[in-house]
Amino acid sequence: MLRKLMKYEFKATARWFFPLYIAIVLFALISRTLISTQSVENDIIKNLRGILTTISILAYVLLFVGTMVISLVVVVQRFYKSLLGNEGYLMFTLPVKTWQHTTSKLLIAMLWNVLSALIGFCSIILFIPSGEMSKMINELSEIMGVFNASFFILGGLILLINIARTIIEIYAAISLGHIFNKHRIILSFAFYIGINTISQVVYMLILPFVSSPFVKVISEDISFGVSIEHNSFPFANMVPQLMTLSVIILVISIILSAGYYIATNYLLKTKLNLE
Amino acid sequence: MPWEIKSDRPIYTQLIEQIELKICSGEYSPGSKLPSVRELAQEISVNPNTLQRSFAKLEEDGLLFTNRTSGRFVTEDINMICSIKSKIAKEHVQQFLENMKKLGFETAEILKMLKTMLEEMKK
Amino acid sequence: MRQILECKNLTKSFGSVKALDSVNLNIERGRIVGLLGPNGSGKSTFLKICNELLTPSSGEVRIGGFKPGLESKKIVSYLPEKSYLNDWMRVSEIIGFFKDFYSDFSEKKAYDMLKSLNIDANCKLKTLSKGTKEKVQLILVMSRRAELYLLDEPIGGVDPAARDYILDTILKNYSEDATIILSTHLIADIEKILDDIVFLKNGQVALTKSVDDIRDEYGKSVDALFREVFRCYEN
Repeated sequence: MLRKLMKYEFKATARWFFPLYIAIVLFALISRTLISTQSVENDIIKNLRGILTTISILAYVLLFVGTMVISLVVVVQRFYKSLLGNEGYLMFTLPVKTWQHTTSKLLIAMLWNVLSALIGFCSIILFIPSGEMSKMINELSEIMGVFNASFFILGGLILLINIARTIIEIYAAISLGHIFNKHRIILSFAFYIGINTISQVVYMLILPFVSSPFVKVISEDISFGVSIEHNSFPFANMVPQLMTLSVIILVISIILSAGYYIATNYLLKTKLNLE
Repeated sequence: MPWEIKSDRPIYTQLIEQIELKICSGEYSPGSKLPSVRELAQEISVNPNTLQRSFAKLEEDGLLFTNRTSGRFVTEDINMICSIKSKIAKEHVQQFLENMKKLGFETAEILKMLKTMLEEMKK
Repeated sequence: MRQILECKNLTKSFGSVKALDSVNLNIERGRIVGLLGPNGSGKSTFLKICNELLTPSSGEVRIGGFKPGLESKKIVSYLPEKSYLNDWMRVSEIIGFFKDFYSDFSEKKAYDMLKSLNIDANCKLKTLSKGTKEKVQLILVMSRRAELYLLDEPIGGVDPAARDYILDTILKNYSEDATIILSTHLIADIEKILDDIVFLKNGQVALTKSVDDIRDEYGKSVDALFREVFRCYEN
């Protein structure tokens, strides 16, 4: 059932993102082409090219920003309208558990977030001329070589969990706002600010502990996150501490996300009140 | 003869009466097969359970019979049909006479009126 | 199990307002039941609780022995008052959706009904008129072979011809194993197809009887009785 829900969730949202992605890549290419194929030309063409390039880059930037905005809007809409609006009558009467609704929307929302980031990243790379590219790749791989696999895995996990957390915070806020009969939207906003604040506060409270002597002792003992050949590299001795900090952040993020997830499902199951 | 279900009397009773009428008038001829409860209920736009009960009563009375495999049929017993016909007719006449009495008509007047109206109907 | 729906002391409060007050009901399989009452009498609230769209304040409802939840949703087909169709699918896609999630859904039945109503399966849902959307929803609900059909004001805002079609469809889909509960305040039109009626008044069950018993005992139609019973309570 979860897979089926995800399938429909994907279908419902793809029509927003695919055109955007295509447009972003297109305008990135157009912009790059316009910039890089400059040659000796007369003034008129130079001006024309200048105008077109500006327009193209502007379009690209707008699309880029637009994608971020649309991502947010879609996350909210798919939960607020599709689950708690009239469509909720359809969704909540399906022979499906409440958590499957939340999870399917969460996973697809995460998918779009990741895809958007990837497309955005790739489109930026398109701006870089090929000569520069190989230079950059070399420099990057030197830096990246310092770290071992666990560093990247941990980084990836933290990234994912935090994408999930921001989405679930929105879901929890909307669910809380839904409990009330009036002013649901305003209340949801307020709840979102509250929830986000709680998350930030939790992180801030825990962080000081990381620099406590206890933690320091643990992290210095292990070459945590550093690949063996490189533990003589200049900043290599800071990496283990960074890693420990990251693990703690990861754990906090997981706990917060789990908490909001459980709360959302509980609210949807017991406090549902469609109009 | 179209079905006419009035709103203030039990549907069950009305269905029985109207099926009896159709049998007596020959619309449902002796030995003929009746439509299924479902089909007929849909046609008349009544509750199938109610129709089913009407059929059951009529079977009890002997006007209908069910053949396990082939369905529900009108009885072939012409005598029974005739006796039901008479019974209904008598009920109508009874009601008519009561109404006429209430209006204050005497027997002779009733007969005279009946004769006149019947003759007019022939034309 | 003869009972498809059992309701014990069901109460639902919204703040200080009791939408349902100690409702007790027992409904058997194979019946067509009318849930009647003026607006605000608790009909929609009751149906929503049966579908787990609301949780009771106290008391319980069981459908086929199950509390409203995953198992009951498999055997209940619900037609809400509102339109729940989304705006990005086509008719054919929502049919595919139902087929995907409900194992008792009959695609063929749905397409047959669409055809008889001249609705093009390729149409986008958002281009359909309100009346057509309601018909599509009815088709989706009645194309399932459910054990309990819950229809909330199915003939409410619909023209008389469509009303007949809806009643016809309900009769056509009648089965001895299934029960249909329809809520409405348009009683005159549907009386004849009902087995039993449940009168709800201010969240309480005022009367449960069969249609014929009412006609017998009160010498009038259910519609007429309803008008009498509820006259004092109309604002």
